[in-house]
Amino acid sequence: MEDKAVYSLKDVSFAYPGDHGREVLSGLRGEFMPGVFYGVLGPNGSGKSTFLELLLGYKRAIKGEIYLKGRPIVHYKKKEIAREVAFVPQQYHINFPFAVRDVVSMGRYPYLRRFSFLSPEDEMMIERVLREMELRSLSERLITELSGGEKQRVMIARAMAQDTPVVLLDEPTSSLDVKHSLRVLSLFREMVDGGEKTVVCVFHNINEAASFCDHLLFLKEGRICAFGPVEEVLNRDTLGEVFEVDAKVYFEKELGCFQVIFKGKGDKS
Amino acid sequence: MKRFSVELLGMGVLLALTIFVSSSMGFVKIPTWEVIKIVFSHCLGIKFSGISPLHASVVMDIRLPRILCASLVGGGLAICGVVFQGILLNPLADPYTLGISAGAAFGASIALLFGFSFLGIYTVSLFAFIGGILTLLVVIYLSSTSSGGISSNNLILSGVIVSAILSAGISFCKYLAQERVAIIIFWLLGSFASSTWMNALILAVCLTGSTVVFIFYYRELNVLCLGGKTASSLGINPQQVRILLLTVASLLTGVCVSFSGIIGFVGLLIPHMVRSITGPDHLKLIPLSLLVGAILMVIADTTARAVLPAEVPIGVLTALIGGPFFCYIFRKRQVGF
Repeated sequence: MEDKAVYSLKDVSFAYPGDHGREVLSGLRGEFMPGVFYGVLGPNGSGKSTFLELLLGYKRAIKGEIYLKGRPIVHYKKKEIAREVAFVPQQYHINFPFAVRDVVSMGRYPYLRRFSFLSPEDEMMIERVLREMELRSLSERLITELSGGEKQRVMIARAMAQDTPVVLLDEPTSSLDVKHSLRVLSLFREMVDGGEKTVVCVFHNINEAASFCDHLLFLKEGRICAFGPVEEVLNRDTLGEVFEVDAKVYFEKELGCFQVIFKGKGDKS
Repeated sequence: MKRFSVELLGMGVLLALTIFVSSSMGFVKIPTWEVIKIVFSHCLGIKFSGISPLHASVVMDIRLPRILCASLVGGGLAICGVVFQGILLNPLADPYTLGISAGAAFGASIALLFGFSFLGIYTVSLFAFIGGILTLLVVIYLSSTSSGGISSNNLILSGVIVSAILSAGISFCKYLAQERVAIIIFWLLGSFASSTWMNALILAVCLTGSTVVFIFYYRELNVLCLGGKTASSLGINPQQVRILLLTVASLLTGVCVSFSGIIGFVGLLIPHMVRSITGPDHLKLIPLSLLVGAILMVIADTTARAVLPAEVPIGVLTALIGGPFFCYIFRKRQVGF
């Protein structure tokens, strides 16, 4: 079982250098399996984004070890990781007027040799991703002219063009409308169901996470509070502990998943 | 790609024409076809009839080294601009943003103030070069965080701070120089008047080397435009690529500045102009900026030398034209691209 894990974390801690060893993340352990949609939840500043950056190999753990497919991630070359893991950051500023298609094509960078151009297979992949993300009508538009939500879809398409077994998403729906949020998450859901893909996604909206994820990971102050299947960890106690709110968790029959209703703890009403 | 090849070829031909035409202009008027004959007879060793020895000497000894230096510096500053804007993720960055020009100017001022001449005419150039590179090192040191990362905002901010300090140093040098202040001022204004074949050769070697490095990394430059974190997730080491390209671009800027003085705005404007025509792909941007930068610098230098009634320092000319254009770009950014 263990050697099948995509990620396996062994007591991983992270602190910023020069921050007097104050750990942003500490003692993380757990395993991430292929074919599972993971949601990461936690209050602001609980280390969610840093957690993704560790899985990406962008930041290095100061203690413990992260294994990607059984090999310590620090032993990977950058391009090797890029062929395994794609990433959509929460924020991006593109100051240069690249066409949408050019940005999506950059997703193929890990597969290109230095002076080779895109192969017909690369072009097909780009074409498919543009279609799936409903970006074909925008493909010649300049990224600097798009709205925030359209830009976010381009960045997701860019990550999808990378065609990796693992996808890390940092609040991918934060500037999308309802329709596109559902579309993006459904696409990733299908990718997880259809193959051996693993998605690890930081969520802002707990109900979105509950609808689409198989497993949830709750972070608070850099520690894992709960990590397991949605039906096991999504309950009043966990939400109370992590978010300090009073919440009611119920099974929404029509959606076929758990949903949450909140009531502020400090609220007198 | 086909359109790009045509553009590249067209610009190449235009550059050659500009060089020939500007070689014919000046105090001694020489017909352009005679300039072409002179150049070919020198390069290929063929004897043409109808070449006056005086004209040959004016073209080969005086005008051509100057014009070639102008074109090489123009091309060099333009591609440095492309690379600095790409690395710093800031379309308003230029070869001088990081304080390299201020450092070079300070180095030159010191050499001129104390009248150092142990390397002959190259003493001031050497001091300018060292000044520029030392400034870059200080700026990188100031802006690097304890985890070894460098953010582009930090780099620009450090560049501004260091430039401000160095400007005070330059002013102090001018003050100390008293009646010799004129030579410092003239150097700072920029000029190709004292260009030699040796300068042109050194510039050509540095420019060729840097262009090869930049083209080699064109795809990384493109991906870096998405931001460091995204570039990293695509398999690039952003710090490593940034430091390498920053160093090469700074060395090239240092060489350009040390031979020509401070010629502002070229590195800022040319990449913008070219980007608006070809788009931001660095594979096209780098070679085309090189050619357009060379053409415009030759035109500017020829205007300063032969068109205006009295010779105007080229740095003044480029700033007078470039400054308002910069304002235009800046304003356009405020109201959205």
